[in-house]
Amino acid sequence: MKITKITLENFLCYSGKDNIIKFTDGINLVLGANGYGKSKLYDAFNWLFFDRITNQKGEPIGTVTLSSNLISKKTIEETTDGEIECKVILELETEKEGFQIERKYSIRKEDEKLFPSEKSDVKVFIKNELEYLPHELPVDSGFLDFVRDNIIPIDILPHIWFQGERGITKAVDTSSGKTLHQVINKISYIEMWQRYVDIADNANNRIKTIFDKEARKSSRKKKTREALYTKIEDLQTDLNKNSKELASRRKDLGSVNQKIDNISLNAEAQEKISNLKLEEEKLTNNFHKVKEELDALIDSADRNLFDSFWVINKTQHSANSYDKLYSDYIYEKQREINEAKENLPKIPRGNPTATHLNKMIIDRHCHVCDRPAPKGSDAYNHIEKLLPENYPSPKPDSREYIHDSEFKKMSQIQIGLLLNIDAFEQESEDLTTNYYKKEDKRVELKEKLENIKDKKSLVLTDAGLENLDSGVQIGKKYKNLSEQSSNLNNTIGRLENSILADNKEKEELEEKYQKSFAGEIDEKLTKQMKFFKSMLTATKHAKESQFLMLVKLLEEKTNQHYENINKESGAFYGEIKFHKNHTEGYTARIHDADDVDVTNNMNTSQILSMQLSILFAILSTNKEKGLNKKYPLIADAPNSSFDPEKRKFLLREMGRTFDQTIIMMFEYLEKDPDRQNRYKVNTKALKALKTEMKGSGIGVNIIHLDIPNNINPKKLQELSITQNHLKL
Amino acid sequence: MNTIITALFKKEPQFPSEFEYLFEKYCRKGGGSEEERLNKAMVFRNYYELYMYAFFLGIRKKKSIKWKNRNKDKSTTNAWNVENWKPKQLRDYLVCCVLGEANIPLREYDLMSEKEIANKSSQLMTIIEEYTYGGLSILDKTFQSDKNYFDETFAFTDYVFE
Repeated sequence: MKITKITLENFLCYSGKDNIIKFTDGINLVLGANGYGKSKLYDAFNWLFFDRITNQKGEPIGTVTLSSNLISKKTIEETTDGEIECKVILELETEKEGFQIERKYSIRKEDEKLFPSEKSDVKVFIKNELEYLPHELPVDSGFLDFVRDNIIPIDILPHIWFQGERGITKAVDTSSGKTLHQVINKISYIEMWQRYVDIADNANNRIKTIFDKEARKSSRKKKTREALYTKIEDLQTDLNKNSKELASRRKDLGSVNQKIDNISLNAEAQEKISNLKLEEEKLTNNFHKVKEELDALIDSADRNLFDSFWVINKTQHSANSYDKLYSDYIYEKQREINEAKENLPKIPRGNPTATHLNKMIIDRHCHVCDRPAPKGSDAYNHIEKLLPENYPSPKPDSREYIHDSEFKKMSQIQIGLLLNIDAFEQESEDLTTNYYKKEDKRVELKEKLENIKDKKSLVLTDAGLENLDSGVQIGKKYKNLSEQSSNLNNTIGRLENSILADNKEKEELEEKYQKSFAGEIDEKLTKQMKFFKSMLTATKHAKESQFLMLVKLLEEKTNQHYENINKESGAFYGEIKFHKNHTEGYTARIHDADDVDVTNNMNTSQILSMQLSILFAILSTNKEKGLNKKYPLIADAPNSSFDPEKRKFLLREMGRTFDQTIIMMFEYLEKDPDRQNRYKVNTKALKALKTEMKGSGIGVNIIHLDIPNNINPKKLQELSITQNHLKL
Repeated sequence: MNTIITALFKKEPQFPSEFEYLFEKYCRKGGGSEEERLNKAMVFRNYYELYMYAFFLGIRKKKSIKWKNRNKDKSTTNAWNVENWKPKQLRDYLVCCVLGEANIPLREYDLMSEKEIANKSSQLMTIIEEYTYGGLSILDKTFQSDKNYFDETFAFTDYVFE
């Protein structure tokens, strides 16, 4: 099955009819920031097949509950009255045929009131050479039967379509033995081996019936044989009774061990919770630190408006007018001084009056020899000496240029401010870029924190910690259960020994009984009996060893995927081992080089990469089924805990394992400096990814989900999403 | 004797009361707490900061509006005359802009009598008020079309650089 195209019409945030995303082989990266329609795209796949979507807690919500919420708020807002329809159309190809599946739902709007339909409708079309023709679904089977028979086995969907880290954990719960046991049954031919065991058992019983029938015809040594037969029958009765009791005791033991497991799990859970709390504390500190830095940056931007004078940006025209006025003022002043100088009467050389001397001191100029006489110079001192001692000290006449010093100061300030004005825009841009980098970090930390909260709640739910009694009671409960377990083990051991001994005795008696018919019953029949008995034993062994082999195979494949994702990251990752547990299942754990179980010390991304590796192995282990090559992987944000390098290796492993992968993610996007509150793709990183994937023979198709510039993303009644297929 | 600058500094500018809500919404009164400022997008520490912001916005957009009913509907910047505006360099730059816009040869101010200085300073204040009116009306229009616009981070900063 290959998905080629999805069309979303007025579905959730996808307003309008032109929301088309085309998919190719290889990796399809659907990039969208939070609130840009990534998860809604995943919901579209879910809704199309199952008539439901999942809420933030991972709980399913059906069409009836969702009702008008399924339809774009913008479309509802813009429609005056009448029918409003939302639709998801999926085009796909299987090995045999091409299909188009369409699910739609409508509401009626009248006088601002909404009247929802009772259900959605689904239609199937089959592709002929030119077009899709309607296909009537059989009356006696539903849409899902059609999907199961023609498109994809429904039971594998949780393993290849999942949403977020919670979805992965739901698909492969590595803390429960049950999941792995179910998985092994799913990928193996264990059912077939059980059938062989049943066939051998039937054949054995049939031949035994024939022998007994023949035996009854003989009249020789009747009494001895009857006594032997009765003894065999008595032994069989005992065996049946003991086997029944053994099965019952084993069941009891399983249940007691499960309870012990739960209590151990509680202890383990508490350790996990404590580790998660530590991680949470660290993240919370970082979160607050980043938040403080963000607040400081906002404050800094606000302050820079005034303290760094950003507010005067593009006001130079007014300031320049002042500059011109001030230049004219200075020129005028100079002109007036020069004019006054020219009008000054000539001073007779060597005979200046006190008035002349006073004027020369004010002007700092010797008008006799027409040269400057700055204060402190010889010329100035000489002029000062010539002034009569009782003459009032000279004061400059500032009345004429009363504004001079103020205008000069303003001009200097104006020049000073305008000097830096060209740098304001860059300064602001730098600050904004820095802010959005930190904002991304804050969002990332917030998501991680929410993730940890989810994990904590999962651990608590799994361990039933909400109902936990005090530690003392747990201890008592544990002791009590341990005693029960020990007693049951003793009983089981006794029963097993008894069954073993009875079986041995029964076999000996049966051999004696059969031998007593030597010469009377056909030897061929006796040989057949021996053959079928050994066949029964052999098939039972084969079934057990086949199961073990599959566990080993799955473990091996899981480790291959795990290594491919983690090896090049340089961090410790260890080896995955499947532990047989008290019940009949297996639990996946991570071991270090000294074979120590270090699972509880591993971080989120390592646990996730283990779970993903098991998922990949489930689908790729059985080569005959080759599920990974037949069906596409669809994942919404499976990698938020992965660092960029590891994310790349994960994508590569997805590309290698699956023929088609559709993955929605936030990564590879960055704040767009040219558009307020919008994101652009990180072209450099994507080009590098494409080149690297090409080297591994994996094609990458990139779709960027965006929101038009003029729309406020916070207003649902305005929201629409565009889909840009990028050619890098 | 007053210079034109000192006369202008003593004046307290007014703005149309219809824009009071902008001052109420985006200015901290009496300082306000840091938390309040961040949560409520109170970008301006004082009324006069928003006043200066609006004046420069009017200058930037070359929008000055004649204020016909000044005596009926005026509001003040909370009794802060121009002299007290800070930073002082920005206040002086604002005065440069006003003198530039008035386009009166600076030498004339030297030759004015006390009474003439007083009249001229009132005319300069009118220029300040009319550009501020222009700036405030631009902010008002944006706010009316999107009431959350200025709640966005950097909205006031972006406005300066758009």
